[in-house]
Amino acid sequence: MKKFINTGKLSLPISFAVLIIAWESLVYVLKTPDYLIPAPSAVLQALIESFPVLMRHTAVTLLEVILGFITALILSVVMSLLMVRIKVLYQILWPYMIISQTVPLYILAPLFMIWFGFGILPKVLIVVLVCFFPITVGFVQGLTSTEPELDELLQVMRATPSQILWKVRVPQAMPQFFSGLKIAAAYSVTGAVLSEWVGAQEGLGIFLTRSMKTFKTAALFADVLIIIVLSLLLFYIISHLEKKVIRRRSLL
Amino acid sequence: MELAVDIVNLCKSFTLNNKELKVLENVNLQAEAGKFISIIGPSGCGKSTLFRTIAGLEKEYTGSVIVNGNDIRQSRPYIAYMLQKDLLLPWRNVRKNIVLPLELSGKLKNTDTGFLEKMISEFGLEDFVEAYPDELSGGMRQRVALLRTWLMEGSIMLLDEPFGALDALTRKNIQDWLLEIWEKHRKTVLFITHDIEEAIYLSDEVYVMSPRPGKIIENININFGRPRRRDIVYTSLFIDYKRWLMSALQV
Ligand SMILES: Nc1ncnc2c1ncn2[C@@H]1O[C@H](COP(=O)(O)OP(=O)(O)OP(=O)(O)O)[C@@H](O)[C@H]1O
Ligand SMILES: [Mg+2]
Repeated sequence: MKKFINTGKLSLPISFAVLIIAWESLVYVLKTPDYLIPAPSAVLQALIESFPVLMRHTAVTLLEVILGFITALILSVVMSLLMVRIKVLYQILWPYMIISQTVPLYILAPLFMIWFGFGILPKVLIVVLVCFFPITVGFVQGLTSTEPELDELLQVMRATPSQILWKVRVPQAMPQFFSGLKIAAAYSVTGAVLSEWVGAQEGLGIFLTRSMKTFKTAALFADVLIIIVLSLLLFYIISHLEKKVIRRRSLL
Repeated sequence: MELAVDIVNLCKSFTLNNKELKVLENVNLQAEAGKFISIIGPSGCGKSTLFRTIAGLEKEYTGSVIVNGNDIRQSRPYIAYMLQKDLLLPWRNVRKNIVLPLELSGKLKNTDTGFLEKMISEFGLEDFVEAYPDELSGGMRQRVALLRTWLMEGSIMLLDEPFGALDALTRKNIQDWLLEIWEKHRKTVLFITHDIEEAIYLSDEVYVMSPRPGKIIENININFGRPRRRDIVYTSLFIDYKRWLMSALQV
């Protein structure tokens, strides 16, 4: 088991290095033009050259992501708690939430732009929409999956409904809540980028479209690299928080 | 003697696949206050159902259940009930798990910490108060669940197979330990077990139930003094009790 974990820690950097070297040499050997597939070195060069510009765009996208994510988080927590406490609310709202997920983002994004302008608001709203569902599904599922015997014990101890909610349901829901948060974090950056694509003054999404239109493929790859790093960073922050909140030996 | 629990002609059935499933049939049980009473019977005969009814979790039944002089249909009784599963909350450490009943009844703030510490050390948990349930052995988990039950309101304890999952040695130790604590505090205990020797060793009285639908088919007094000593298990009286109960159970 220990051996497995050790090689596991090393396997990621090794496989990554192998991939980069293979990519670089293939591009070199096949002499593929830069606008088709740029070599990693070309991507790095583009990254360094456009770094100040890229950072400006990153700041905008990051702001959209953070605002959207936090709004979604607050909304999800409030709605989940309300739906769990008030059954009718759950019956009314749940179908609409599922429907909201079936409308494709590339239709909603331009629509939001028509309604809310070219500014940051429509992008934040898309991020909210993308994050809301996984967080809410995770939290509601965690809050409602119960052990009947535990419910009976609480009944014998005469726990009030609000005690049951705060002392048992909420802590018990934490693992599923955090799973939802992680999925939302992974989606949030893509959501923001996609909504910028449709029309924006600044942001990684608009940089992406511009690079594409001018065949600056290396810059495009540099942009994608930043998107990946941002998503991973968010994911990592949430995993870290999860470890702090759920103090429990992992079952793995 | 005052009766802590008085059950008269209790009948209970469930509906299973549109058919009536009789689980308890004319169960009569009288538990004097401060006695240790065991209930043995084959798996599925309705022992847990009997406890659930006494605890007020089953509303549909015929017959009467009187706890401390009050019909439980009129006033829901305060009962310290330990279910067949230990049901410790994995996100709470041992101390936080133990004080749950006090916390829920709002009495934690007024509870003397000296009293709590005393109970924790009586239950042999003083080195584990900061540990989490998944860091405990099976025997330790049962002690935690028992202490939590002990701190629940009510002078009557219902213990549903508390030692069922323990190995023989741990089981013997924890039996001795439970007796020691019980002899000090003398609460009324109703105790479900599959283990005939455990029932004889611990109890003042043993009830035997038939296979489902559960009826009381035997009820014997165990005439060993208190405090009990482990070596009574070698006496001929102990073996007589054992033979008698085994024949009642037809094993
Ligand atoms: N809610 C329920 N609905 C239908 N049948 C039930 C219900 N609860 C229990 N039963 C049935 O009642 C019977 C008695 O169950 P109970 O749990 O009381 O048995 P038990 O004597 O405690 O068994 P064990 O020793 O295995 O714990 C079983 O046949 C069980 O399937
Ligand atoms: Mg049972």
